[in-house]
Amino acid sequence: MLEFIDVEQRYGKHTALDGISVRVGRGERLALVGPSGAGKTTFFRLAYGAFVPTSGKVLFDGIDFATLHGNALREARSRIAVVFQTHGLVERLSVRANVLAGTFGKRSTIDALRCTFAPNGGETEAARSALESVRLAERLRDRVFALSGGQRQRVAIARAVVQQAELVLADEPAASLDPELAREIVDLMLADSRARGTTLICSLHQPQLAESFDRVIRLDHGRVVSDEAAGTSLFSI
Amino acid sequence: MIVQLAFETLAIAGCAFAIALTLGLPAAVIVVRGGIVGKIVAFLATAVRAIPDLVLAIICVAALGLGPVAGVTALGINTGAVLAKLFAELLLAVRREPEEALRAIGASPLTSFLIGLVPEAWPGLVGFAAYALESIIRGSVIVGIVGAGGLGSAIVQSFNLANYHEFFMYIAWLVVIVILVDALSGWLRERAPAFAAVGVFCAIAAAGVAGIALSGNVSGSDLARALPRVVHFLADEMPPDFSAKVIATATDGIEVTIVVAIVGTFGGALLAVPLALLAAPRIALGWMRGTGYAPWSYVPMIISRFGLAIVRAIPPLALGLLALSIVGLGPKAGAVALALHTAGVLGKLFGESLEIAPLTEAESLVATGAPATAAALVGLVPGALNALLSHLAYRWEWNVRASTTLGMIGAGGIGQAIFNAQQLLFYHQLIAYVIFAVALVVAGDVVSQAFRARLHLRTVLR
Repeated sequence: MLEFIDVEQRYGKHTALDGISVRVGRGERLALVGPSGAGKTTFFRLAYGAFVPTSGKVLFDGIDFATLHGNALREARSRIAVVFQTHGLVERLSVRANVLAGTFGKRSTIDALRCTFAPNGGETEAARSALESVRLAERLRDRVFALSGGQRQRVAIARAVVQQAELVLADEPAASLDPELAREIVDLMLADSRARGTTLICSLHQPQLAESFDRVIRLDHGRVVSDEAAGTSLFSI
Repeated sequence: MIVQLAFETLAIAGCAFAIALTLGLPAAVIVVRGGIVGKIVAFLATAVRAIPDLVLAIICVAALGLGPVAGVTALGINTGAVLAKLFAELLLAVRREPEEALRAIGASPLTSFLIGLVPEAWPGLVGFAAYALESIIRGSVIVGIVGAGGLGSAIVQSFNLANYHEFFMYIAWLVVIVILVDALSGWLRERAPAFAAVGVFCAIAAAGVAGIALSGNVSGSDLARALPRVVHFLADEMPPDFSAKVIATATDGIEVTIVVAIVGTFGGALLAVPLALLAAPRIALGWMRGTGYAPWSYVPMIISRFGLAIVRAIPPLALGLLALSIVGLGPKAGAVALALHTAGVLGKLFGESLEIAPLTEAESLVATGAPATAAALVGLVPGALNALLSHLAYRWEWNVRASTTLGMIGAGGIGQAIFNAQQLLFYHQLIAYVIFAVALVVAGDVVSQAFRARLHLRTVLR
């Protein structure tokens, strides 16, 4: 599904990723742990082709991101959902509009604008059912700025659900949430991944949240320091 | 008659507004996208902003001849450059994640921009567009001087004919329009729903263009061709005349202009302090004395606020003409006009700063039995001081431009030199003087920015 081949990413003198090779299979649920500055966010940005790495290759479904441009790149990205640490929601728009934004990868600009400001019945229904899966359907018509941090994170997950993506990337979805809420969000993402059979890659601050994943990769200083099935040596550091 | 003049003024303003938006919005987007093109556009916008508005108008007159096209083009370009800067800064300052989140899932760049970024920046975009409208209405006196028509021209003509009765009447009408437009802009900024704001802006721009086009001898292609013609004119009149005589005149002029700006800024600030104290409800209403809100204390506050609002509503150039008619030709009139306008603006800003300054220090002084004035000076003013000084620095930047402009209507200085060169059709000299004026404006901005940077540093260190 996703493969990093000897990927190196430098920002000026700073090396964010130092020769990483990782292969993630279809349907796999992978947790990425490590201290801040370990290279997790760079990993995610490369994983959806935000930029081309300094050296090495990032393959999505066997295709090198570096070879994709314009509509082909958009098409590939529309199959990848991204849940950002800071949610990436448009605060002044409604919850419904923000969830439906998950479908923009398959829409023209005009259609995207229409869908945002005048969604039809089917679209509203799609948004509602996605929100139901994160138990937030009652906030469909509210503006995002009226929501709490945990609720916003759930809207971001609903966006990934409505997108029908094959690969879900979540960069620190549980950061800045209290432990109970963090657990709930991670469980929601795992449940969605199991229900739809999608690949999930999720970076986490607290190692104990990684227990329920299939596989855990630990990053430090831009290198993979361990890569093993979950539950083996999570508390060794 | 007067109604027709008012409509002409509104049409000119609407048309200039349309030009400003058409130039400013795309320019801002290009600047934000960066790259070499973005840098060039950013530089051009900065360069145009450094040309005082009336100076730009004179260049347009030299290129396009007297009339509405020159006036509207000058006002539109000037405001467009300001909008380009404000919009670009805004788009760079708002959260980028929503846009990136949409790009990440394959939304087109345009969709991501429109749905991800624009809503984040929306209140600011509306606010700046409304501000542009306010400053364009005030600028209609400027286009009046270059014969664009409307109340601006009527003001200038009646002044030239020494028909002061009409002169004051036209100014009063303009003040009424300014106050109405300010009210509209305040509503758009604070309460109007998003679609209403878009509707009003589009309607104003469309009505303006239609009004100018229907008013007679101006066609749409005249407007569209205006900007290329100005550029062509500038290219034709190169190189500028930097002879010893021109340089001597310019140095003398710059000296006068700087003095006018200094007197205007600091004189205005001195006038502003007591007015601000009267206008700030906290102080004016006797909170400091601990006597509660005495009914009579509303009277000076209302008078002060009303006075400040009226002075602010008179376009600075009209104030300049007024001062010229009272003090006579020369720098003195410029300094008086500038000081009055500065007092109006700073009085309001100072008052607002005093209102939002932290109260605790003054409160604890009052609690120990300190006299009200002492409590205000020792406890309240230091908390507001940085804001006050920062406002003062911004006004200084603005006043350097205004002092140049006032020179062009007879207050001396570098502005006068520009005006004379245009009247005599010495275009090589004209461009040289304009370059000197722009250098002066840039120098003024640099001084102010250095001052504000130190101010900021001080705040951070404390």
